[in-house]
Amino acid sequence: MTTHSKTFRGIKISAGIAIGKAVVFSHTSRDITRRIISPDEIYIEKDRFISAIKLIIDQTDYLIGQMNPKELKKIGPHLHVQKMILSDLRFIEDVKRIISTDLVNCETAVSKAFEKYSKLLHSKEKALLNAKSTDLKSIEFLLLRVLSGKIKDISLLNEEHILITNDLTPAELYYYSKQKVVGIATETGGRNSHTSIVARSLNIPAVSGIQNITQIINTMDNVIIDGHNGILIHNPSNKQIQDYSSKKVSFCLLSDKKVDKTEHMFVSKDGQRINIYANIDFPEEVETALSLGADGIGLLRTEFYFIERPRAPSEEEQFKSYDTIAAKFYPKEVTIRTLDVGGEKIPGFISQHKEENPALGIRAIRFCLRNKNLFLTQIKAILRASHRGNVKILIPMISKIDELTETINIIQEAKDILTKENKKFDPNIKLGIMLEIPSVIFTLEDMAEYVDFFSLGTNDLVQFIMAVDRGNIELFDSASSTNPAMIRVLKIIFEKIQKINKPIYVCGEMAAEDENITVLLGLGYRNLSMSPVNIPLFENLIRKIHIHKAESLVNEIIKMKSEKEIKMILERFLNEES
Amino acid sequence: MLECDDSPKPDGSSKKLIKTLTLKNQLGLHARAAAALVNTANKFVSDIQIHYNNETANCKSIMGILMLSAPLGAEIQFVIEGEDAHQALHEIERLIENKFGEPE
Repeated sequence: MTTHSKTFRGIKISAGIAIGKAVVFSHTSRDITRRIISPDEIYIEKDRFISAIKLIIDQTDYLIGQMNPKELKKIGPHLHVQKMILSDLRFIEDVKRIISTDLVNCETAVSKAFEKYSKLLHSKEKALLNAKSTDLKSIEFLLLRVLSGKIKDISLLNEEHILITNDLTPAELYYYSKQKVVGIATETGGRNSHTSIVARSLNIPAVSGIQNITQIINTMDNVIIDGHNGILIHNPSNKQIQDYSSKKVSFCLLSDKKVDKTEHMFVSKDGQRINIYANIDFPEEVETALSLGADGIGLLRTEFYFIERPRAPSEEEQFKSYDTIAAKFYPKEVTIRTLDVGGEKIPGFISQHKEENPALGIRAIRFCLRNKNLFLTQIKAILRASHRGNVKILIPMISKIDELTETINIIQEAKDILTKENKKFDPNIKLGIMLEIPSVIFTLEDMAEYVDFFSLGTNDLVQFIMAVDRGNIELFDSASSTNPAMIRVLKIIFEKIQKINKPIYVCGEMAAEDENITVLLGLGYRNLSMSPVNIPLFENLIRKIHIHKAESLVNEIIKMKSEKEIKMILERFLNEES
Repeated sequence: MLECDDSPKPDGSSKKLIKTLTLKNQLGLHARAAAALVNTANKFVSDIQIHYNNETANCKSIMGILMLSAPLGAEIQFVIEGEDAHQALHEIERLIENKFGEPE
């Protein structure tokens, strides 16, 4: 079969890797019959509605009965909520009334009722919205699935499957996990929805937020779910399947038994030690990074503390969390990046105008400088967590000196306040900026006067250099990091950095693929930060590579004009080395 | 805050209690908290209404409570009427005081 492999990026829901054949449950407008009924059908429709509810409640009760005490404690409450909503008198009366007054079938009535609830919620506090309305949405979808007779008994499946669906209720997820479903991809659902929480407690790799996925993927297509990186690969190549199988094995090994990693060395075949750091999105990943022998945290993203929250986290809450992480890693370094939101990812408790071009709009440091209290609170929390001397501050999306000096003033202000409050912090805390906007490349020497280190954000840099949206599936190939322009840009950056003599860390996804790693090492980069799951894979790779060979290879590549040619050469190099 | 109407009702038993309570848990009346509130309310025969932001919901209906969208710090008025009103108010207060058993 020569189907083309495609990669989709979604939201990370639950870590882990799953490889298998897809089972697609879809319920689009196409699959659901919505129609007007005649008055004498009112009874039939109301009956259908009540039976569907009864069926789901019975099944939920059955599932609760099957649970062991641990599951009952963790998952039980979510199933109870689902049951309670379905048996809610107001809900039942609403649907029945819509059936008889609007003269519509019960599918239509159910959707109308949920639409009303969702509107009501939307008109109110925005913050709670995400989790709550996706929870309701998943219950609506479940009802529609049951009504359409499309709820499938997948207990007949005889190999491991990945469930692709619009949405899922916690009860369904639990049920399918007991069958042969090993991974989940959904179109909707935030990280804090009930289903997401249940997926994590069941250790089922899951991603969400991939639009139209039920229309693109067919049942029995090959699929890989990479829950660590929020990625779904449709029709993966044999190489991708191989790569992910080994990732899966190393991850399972490492998470099963706590391997002693003190003797851990990331050393190349010709004896060069590479520094490997972890990119952390959620506090729960910290233990994994530690057990994998990471040299520190190269990028601690802090968006987790702000998104899907009813209000901004307090200084105390942030401090406690940052401090716990810093203590766990001590004496290794922990680089904390200040809030990088904007565009679509604005926290619910902040109101901001919709922007026409959010990627180039008020995000990251631009957002923080406009929300000074929020920013000052975070800076204070980071400073307080630095009292051991192993915490660094990283500022995202700096594009010009003014933003940097303004930030430095705020950091100074935070230090002054903390001194007055008699709170401990590291007065010499190191400050770095993300190098992800091309303007910084041209002002690197100026910036260097103010900062201690740079972090190369390859994801955004490639977007801005190539003017492509990485989220756009059609343009995915154009967003590759091994095109001639990117490689040359990376070379220019490295040469400048060497003159400045300040450290640079690579923390984009570029540090996660074999070909890209070869290029980075060949160019001279020695500090790489990556998702914890990629660390064992890197360890396998680095053992086989001669750095001096990679360096001569890159000297050749840098002259090449075609990306295809570069890719070929890189692939051949990696084959020869292993 | 507590208004207590202990005057004997025609049936000789009913009591009406009104009390405003402040939500202390981080997520406010989200689904699991709402479910806990409904579970508590359902243990009593008293009629329990809650008022917040000019809206009223039956404390025994999760949908109604969810639609109130009450966040952390929201002041919610409970109107409880029935023979076990005192006991019901006591348990609801405790539930809210304990932040619905949520970890912080």
